[in-house]
Amino acid sequence: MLLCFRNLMLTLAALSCWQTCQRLAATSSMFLVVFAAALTDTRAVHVLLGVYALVGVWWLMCAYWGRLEGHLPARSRRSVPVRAVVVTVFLLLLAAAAGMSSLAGGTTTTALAGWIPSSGGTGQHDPFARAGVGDGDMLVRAQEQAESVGAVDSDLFLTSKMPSLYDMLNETFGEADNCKKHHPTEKAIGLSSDEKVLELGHEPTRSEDAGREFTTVRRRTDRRRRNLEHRLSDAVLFVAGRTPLHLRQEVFDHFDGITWSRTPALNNPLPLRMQQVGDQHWVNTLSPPDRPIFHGREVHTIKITSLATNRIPAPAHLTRASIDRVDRLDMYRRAEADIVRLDRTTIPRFTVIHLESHLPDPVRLRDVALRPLVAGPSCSVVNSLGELRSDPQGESPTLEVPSTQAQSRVRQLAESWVADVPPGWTQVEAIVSRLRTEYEFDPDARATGATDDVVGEFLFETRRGPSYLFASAAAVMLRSLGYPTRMVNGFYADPARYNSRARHTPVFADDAHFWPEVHLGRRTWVAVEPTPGYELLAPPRSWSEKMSTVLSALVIWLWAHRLALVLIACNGVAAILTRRLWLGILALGAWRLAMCVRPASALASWTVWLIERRARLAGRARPSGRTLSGWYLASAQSASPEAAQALRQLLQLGQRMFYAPHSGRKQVPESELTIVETCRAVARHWTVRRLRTCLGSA
Amino acid sequence: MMLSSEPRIVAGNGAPPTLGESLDIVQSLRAALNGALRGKSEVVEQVLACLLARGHLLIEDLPGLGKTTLAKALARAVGGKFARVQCTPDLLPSDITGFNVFDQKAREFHFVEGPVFSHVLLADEINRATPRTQSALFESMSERQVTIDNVSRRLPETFFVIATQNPAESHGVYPLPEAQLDRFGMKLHIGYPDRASELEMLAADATPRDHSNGPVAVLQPDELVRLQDEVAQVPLSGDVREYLVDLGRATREHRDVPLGLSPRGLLTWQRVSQARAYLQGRDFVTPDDIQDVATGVLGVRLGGESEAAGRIVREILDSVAVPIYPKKR
Repeated sequence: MLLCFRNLMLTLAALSCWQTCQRLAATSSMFLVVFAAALTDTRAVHVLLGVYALVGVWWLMCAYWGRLEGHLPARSRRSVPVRAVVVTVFLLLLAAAAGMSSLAGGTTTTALAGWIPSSGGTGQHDPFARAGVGDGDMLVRAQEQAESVGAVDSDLFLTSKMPSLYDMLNETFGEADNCKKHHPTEKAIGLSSDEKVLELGHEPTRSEDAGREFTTVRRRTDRRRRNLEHRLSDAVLFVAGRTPLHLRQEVFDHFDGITWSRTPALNNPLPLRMQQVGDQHWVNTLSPPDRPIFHGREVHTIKITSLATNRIPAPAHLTRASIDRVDRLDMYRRAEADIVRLDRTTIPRFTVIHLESHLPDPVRLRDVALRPLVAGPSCSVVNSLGELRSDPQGESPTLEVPSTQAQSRVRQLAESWVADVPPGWTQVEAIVSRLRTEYEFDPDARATGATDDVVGEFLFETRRGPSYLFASAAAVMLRSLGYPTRMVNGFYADPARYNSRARHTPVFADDAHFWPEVHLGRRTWVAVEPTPGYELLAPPRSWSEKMSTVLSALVIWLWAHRLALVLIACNGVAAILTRRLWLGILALGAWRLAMCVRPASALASWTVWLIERRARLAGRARPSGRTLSGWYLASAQSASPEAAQALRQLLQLGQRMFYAPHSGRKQVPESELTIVETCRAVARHWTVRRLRTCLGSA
Repeated sequence: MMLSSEPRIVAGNGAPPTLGESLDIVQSLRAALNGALRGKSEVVEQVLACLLARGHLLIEDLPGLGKTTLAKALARAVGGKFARVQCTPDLLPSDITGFNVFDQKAREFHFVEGPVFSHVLLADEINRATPRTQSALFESMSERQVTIDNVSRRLPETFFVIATQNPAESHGVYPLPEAQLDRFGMKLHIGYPDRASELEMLAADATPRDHSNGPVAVLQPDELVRLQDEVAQVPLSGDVREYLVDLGRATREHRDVPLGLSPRGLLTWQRVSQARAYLQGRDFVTPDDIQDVATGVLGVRLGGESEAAGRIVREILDSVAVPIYPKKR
């Protein structure tokens, strides 16, 4: 209806050469603008409203100028072309509307919406939409599965295709190579740990606790199959909020050289607390951080679509979380000290979870007094030292490194990387940046499994691998330097996948990711990202910061290309300064070519062309309203006699060529030889410089 | 008082004279006028173009600049009868056209021809005549005939009016209406002569007068008719004609022009341009010819203040691109 009215208005505006149509168009446009302004309170609309008001006042002034003029003091007798102005304004508006509609990529159907009944939709397409014409390929496909319907508590049958994180890791990184699982070293180390023994006393693990380990020696996967079938149809979850984002799922702290495993926490985790803010019930997981390393609050919303897990995928330093209408605290449990889960088998599909977390500021992290712990013998576990002891409820950070033969080399390598870096967070950054720059990310590379030290093999031999190898290497190196580090896996919300129309970022099974986290004391684990191509979420930057970044990048780029730029600038300036010379040479070349190719009768006009060119180059171009003789012969007075004579002859020839009737053109009194001579004389005498001096003095 | 010397060259009755012979005649005409009006060769060219284009001439300038001298010289050079009317507010139409007198002896009306029955008529200070008298003159100018008591009388084929008016006067004048100004071919300003010409003029005046050395008639009226016919046959190429039409349309769109160029004015412009080309010894019209006569042709037609006329004409000329390279047809 509104569209129809708008189109009617536009048509009236187009026909505004008639007074009635013009007034009607103005009235209807005012109605439309007021209507639109009443519907929304966006600031842009208010700006538009102001512009419209200005245009409207101008229009009124124009339309009633005649009446106004009588009341105004007669300062000027120039009349305003009322109709022309009004028509121009409307045409401009119309052109702008047409341009905008064409820029918006609308088809004819959308442009004519309101005129022609159409079921073609709005022309927009969103693969994640829930309804609409041509919309939602992905979700429609997902919803058509029989097992996804049903409003009961467990809305999925046992044969659910929803993959667990374990399946996803197997799919993404390949299955664990079982032959390596019973490696004697691994077994010896695993059993030597006290915690391992304790674990045996626990009740048999439930499904969600099963497989809480990750082997770095894995089989290759069929990447093509993964890409084709599973990429588009199954987004694991969606993230709304700033990306890139690391969503934690599991934490590993024990590494035997091949396999990462989880040591169950000994300490009682902090209790969760429920808090109601308005209609929303939030579960608080951490008290708001009091440490200065954090930049500020980050708010994200995730929706899980295809992931069988009960752990809430959440960024680090999660302070609180909320699910609509979940108002009971006992629905939430802690899976780890800083990972929250729901007290059920899986989080139901399409559950929307609001998350609030704090973001560490990489700049402030450098100021943290981070002391490397004194590591014991290379294979010992150091879990309680210095300040850590004063934090009884904290996780026990570990410096344990696998006691493999390559370990000493790894340690030496790490020490050589940080040789001239003062201890603290800068060392962590140094290790990470060396890994990021000197090693190559290759999701298809696999550890051979030939040795018992995957990290050594990665660092010294293959130098390429998937994210878990980077993360393992970073963790082992940081530990060997005395920084308690653990391994985390989960999902990486890639900003490259951001869907600007739906304003969210889908996360696929491919985005399963590993990264290390460094302990800063007081239960604060800060993620680092050693894998090239993956980024940590940076604090939002202000405009001035963005501008300074861009400027500094520009300066750096300019400085890097200074020689080429100076050369280009010099050449450009030289070319601009001498452009008349070059263009003159080009014109002369074209003229010479014409002299060779064209018949003698056409030479006069070519020579006139040359003179016109040169006059333009001399900055004394003939105004279009002046005749050839009127412009050039006036200047011939100040030239030498033979030059003036040649020019006069040429112009006479040219006049006969150009203006004599067709029968008269043939009767050129001069012979061909004379013509050629005249043309040559003119081209010789009337150079750019002479034209400039003569025409300038004329 | 007319000098009755023989015309210089008269072509034989047999073969028509060639362009070269005609140019000789034109050259002698030019020389005669330049001798009378020193240092004003461009004005003389314009006057000749107007004459050959069969247009009447309006000269607007201050007193004493040679308006009458020029008109007299022209009349004598063209040959034929010269008449002069000094316009005053009490001048009656019959004073110009002539009137019927009852002859007591013959007992019948006898027509006394007025000054309009001549080859060259000089109407001095035409804007001092009443509109009634002016319109009587205008009929004779456009129709080349006069009607007195329902009898139409033909005027000579080469009837040529040189009217002068004085722009400085404002009391007791009747400005010519725009519609009647259109009857004139061109309006010219003579302007002051340059220093050298004034010196020459003074020197010539101080010498003993030689009565036999005045301007002589260089051609007969029927020769003038032939020249005028030749002028009418100078061709225009398509591009030039389009250019002329575009200029005419541009006058109607110019914001300072109250009255654009009429089709009759356009015809006059073409004819004067042809005459200009003819005077230059060319057998085709170029945009230069059109531009050269533009001030005179448009000055009489566009109305408005004459001070701004030069600027307006320049703007109009500048607004239309001169055709240069011939279009592919």
